[in-house]
Amino acid sequence: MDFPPYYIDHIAGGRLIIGLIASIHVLINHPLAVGAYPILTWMEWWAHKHNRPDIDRLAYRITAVVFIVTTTVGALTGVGIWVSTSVFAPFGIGSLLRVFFWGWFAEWLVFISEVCLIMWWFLSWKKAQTPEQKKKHIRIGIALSVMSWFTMALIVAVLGFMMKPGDWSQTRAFIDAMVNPLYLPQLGFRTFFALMTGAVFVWFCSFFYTKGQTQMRQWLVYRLSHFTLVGMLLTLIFGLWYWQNVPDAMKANSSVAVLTQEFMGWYDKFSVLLGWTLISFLVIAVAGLSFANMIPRWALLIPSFMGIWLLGHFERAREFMRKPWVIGDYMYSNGVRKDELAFLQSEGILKHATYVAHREVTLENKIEAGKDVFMIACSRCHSTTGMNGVLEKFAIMYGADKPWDDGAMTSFMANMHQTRTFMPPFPGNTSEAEALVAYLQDLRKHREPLEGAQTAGIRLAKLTMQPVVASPIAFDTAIAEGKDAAPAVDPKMIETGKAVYAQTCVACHQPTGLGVPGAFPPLKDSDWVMAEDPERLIRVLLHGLMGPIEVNGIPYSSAMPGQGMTLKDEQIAAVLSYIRHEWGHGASPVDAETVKAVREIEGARVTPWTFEELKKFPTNTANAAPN
Amino acid sequence: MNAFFLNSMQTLASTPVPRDLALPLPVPEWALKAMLVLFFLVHIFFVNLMVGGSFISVFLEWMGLKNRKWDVMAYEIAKTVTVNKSLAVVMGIGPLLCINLVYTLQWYGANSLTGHAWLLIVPTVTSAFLLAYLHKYTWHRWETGALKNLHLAIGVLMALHFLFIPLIFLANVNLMLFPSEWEKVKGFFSSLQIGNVFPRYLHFLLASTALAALFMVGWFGRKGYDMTSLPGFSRAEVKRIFYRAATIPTMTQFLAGPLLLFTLPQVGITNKLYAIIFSGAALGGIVLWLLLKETKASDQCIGNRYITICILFSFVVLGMGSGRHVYREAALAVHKAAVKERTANYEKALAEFRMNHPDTMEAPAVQSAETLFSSCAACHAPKTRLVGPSLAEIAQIYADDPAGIVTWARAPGKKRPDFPPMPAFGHLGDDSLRKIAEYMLEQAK
Repeated sequence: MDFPPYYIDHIAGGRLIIGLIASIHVLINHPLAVGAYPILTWMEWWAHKHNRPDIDRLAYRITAVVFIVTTTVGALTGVGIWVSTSVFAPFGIGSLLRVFFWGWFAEWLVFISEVCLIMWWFLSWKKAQTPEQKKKHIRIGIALSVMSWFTMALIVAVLGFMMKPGDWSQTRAFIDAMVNPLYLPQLGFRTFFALMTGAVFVWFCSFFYTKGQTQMRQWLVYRLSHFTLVGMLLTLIFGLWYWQNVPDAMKANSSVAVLTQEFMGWYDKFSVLLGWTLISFLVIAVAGLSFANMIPRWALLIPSFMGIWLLGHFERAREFMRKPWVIGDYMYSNGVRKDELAFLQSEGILKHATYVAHREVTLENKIEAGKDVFMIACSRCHSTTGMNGVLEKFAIMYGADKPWDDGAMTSFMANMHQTRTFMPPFPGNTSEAEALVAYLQDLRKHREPLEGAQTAGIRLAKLTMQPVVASPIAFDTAIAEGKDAAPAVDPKMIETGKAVYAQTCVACHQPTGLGVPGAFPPLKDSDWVMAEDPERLIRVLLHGLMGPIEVNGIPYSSAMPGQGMTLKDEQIAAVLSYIRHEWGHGASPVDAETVKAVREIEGARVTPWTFEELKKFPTNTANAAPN
Repeated sequence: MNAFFLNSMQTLASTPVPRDLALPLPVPEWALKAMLVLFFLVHIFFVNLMVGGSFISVFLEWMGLKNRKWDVMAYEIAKTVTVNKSLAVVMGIGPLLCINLVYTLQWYGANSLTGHAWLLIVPTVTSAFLLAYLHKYTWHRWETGALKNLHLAIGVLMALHFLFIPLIFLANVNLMLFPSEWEKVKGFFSSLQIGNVFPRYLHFLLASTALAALFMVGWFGRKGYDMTSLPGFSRAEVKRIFYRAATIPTMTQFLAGPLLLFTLPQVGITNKLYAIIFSGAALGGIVLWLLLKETKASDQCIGNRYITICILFSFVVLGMGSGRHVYREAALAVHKAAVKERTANYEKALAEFRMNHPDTMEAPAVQSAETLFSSCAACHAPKTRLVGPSLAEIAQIYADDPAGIVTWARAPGKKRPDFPPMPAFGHLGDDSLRKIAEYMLEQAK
């Protein structure tokens, strides 16, 4: 997710906005565009064949409604899906466009024809007077119906691909992306759903234009019932085929997808409700066949609203079931690719990020770095304190008024993709997980809104390490090549340092780095160890300490033997790097040249250091570890 | 020593150099760029007609309050606006597709930074379009008195929408060119202060008016147009009116154009740009001269130069469109190269990592019970309640019954009202669940 993080706190990563826009788009375009055009064309044809100008006029009036709604709200919500995904998930839409460029290009050409055809059909309707003109006009309607269906056929390929890329995962070929296993089932499902709902829409609409015209209504209702029934039957058949093709892992998400975690237990009830919706359509349609003149207008509202409810939930479920992926098996919903996950979990996600304030976690910046981690790894789906808020999640788990254990939270985050299969794995290293926990714990105490880049601007990490390079590009090259340019930590050095520690330091400072209270000061979270500049530490190692000292504000009174005679520069550098890296630390490593330089500067010294003498070398006072 | 580095680092580091997406472009970049320039011109043509048409229509309707013949003409123009608007939107898809591919990071970056405004395009354009329909379809019903005033107000409101919306687009196409300025931006209004949005806007407004007027010359002037729809006007008169309406903004462009050119940030200025723009402007000078001649032409001859004007004007537009592109390329050349390099380095580091750590790619075939249990440890602590009941408690309930644990874990019910619901673990498979269950009972002993 290497884009400026557009983020609106309280609304859970923008999914709601995308979802609302997309749902409105589908709710309009299925019944009105894809469904109604063929029905209205059929009405015009029937009216022409049987010389019924009243039916022609009815068809025209309903077309006017369709025309206005589809060329404004219908079209703009389509654009809206693009606009909203661009700001909330640019990695997703950007990737899809690269894969599906020709698909969308074809879609564009079809849109142009659809726009031209609807304008032509509607605006020339009244001018088509003679039989030849009328025949030509009907053909425009047919062309429009075909093109409208075709736009849906193309876009469905994209949607199916996102869930189940099929062979594209191996071949990366466009045609494989288009012809994926979910395609035909979903297309069939949507086509007949559109027909079914289109018929109900035309039915409903017509009642406004046929007051008192019982015979006309009867004529219409009888025929529209046919459309509804056929549409419903085929919707069911294709729906079942669709369900069969949904990947198993995604099916497992379905109970959560459909009704959110809280209502998992209501899954059965949902199925019942679904059944009732279909029955309501069925009843209306069958009644329309037999008792056409007895169906009151309001009765149509029942299947209409249930249809809206069903479609809205279907779209939500479809989107949710795809989680944790935005592109199945390729890219997670937070923009992290599957093939870079392990890399980021090792190196840290902040290191390679652009729009963050910190590139690595230190004792000093833990909370701020945690905020960066949240923004990169979580903000696409979660808010902090609003909808789908992470604090709320933890409150449910651990209790809203109980203390939350840092360690439990950290280990939860490492494993949450296994307990909640719709979550992507945490894409950072352990210190970043801890930083995130620190941020959330702090946020719990001081609830402040988190601002996105569109309000707070972008933050670009300063290069705090000793750079040996002259540009951001070269900086990354250095990282990539593992050069001395920090913050890369050489694992071999750590290994060496660990060995030195085990031999020389562990007796007093303990394997845990916690020291012995009252006797030997801790190294873990110690302000001496976490100092930005290792000057003090190097001196302590070279010559030792005597007399009372304070670490993290706590007094200790002991002696530490110097190691300058027994340890070489490389070993001192290694062990210092180790203690500055271990126990969740993230301070910079120390190199042998620096140790050598200090040794030379202090060449004359033989006595251990006192606290007073060392005071001129700064520590990391910003972080006194809790007692 | 370090301080110096850090300071220069920070100046350099204030230009974001993000990593690009890992997928290749599906079409060669030069082809996408050519398509971008052409498709954009088609889009902007219809936008100009829509915006200019809406202004002219509302202005004429206002004039029509005194003299009805202008009102009739205003209606005729309103009819074209509702058609051109749909073409403007649908033609916008092409350039948007191309720009998303060629300038992914710069374009989306700008979108995010002006995010609120960018999202607001959807409701504002919808609203503008609905107002346009309302304006057109109530014209003859709300013809007099207070209703007429309401009708005119709707027209004005629609025109105001069309006045504002282009500013959102202009802010984005401008902002995308200057990533080094992004740190200064905090939303849409601050983005208007980067680069030269307002000179561009002025140029656009003038162009819209001029082009819409030129279009009217052809629209009303064509043989197929029934002049009885415009009582009180002769065909020649209408052409003259719109030729004049096109000439005035075109003359003004010779001030607005240089203003735009000379307020462009230096980063994209090249000699090539000047060459293209000045050639276009030279052709534009000829177009202006022809327009002036047309305004003075006799009733018989007026319109004879129309096709020539349109052809020449197309080349002007093509020149300007190419000039924009040349500027963009120059402005972004360094940034694009930096992005490319950074991306390549990252992918290289990634590839190396994957080579050295092949085992991280596949999940281990057989995981130990202890590893598997880590999924559970997040919520089930040994002796205390963490999220769910403690292991001790579970061991009591399921003593000697690991199968019972497996059944529960596959599809957890809800036994305890004051506990949060447990997610299902069927995806781990029965073998793993069994292992975990036995491990749990073992640990509890």
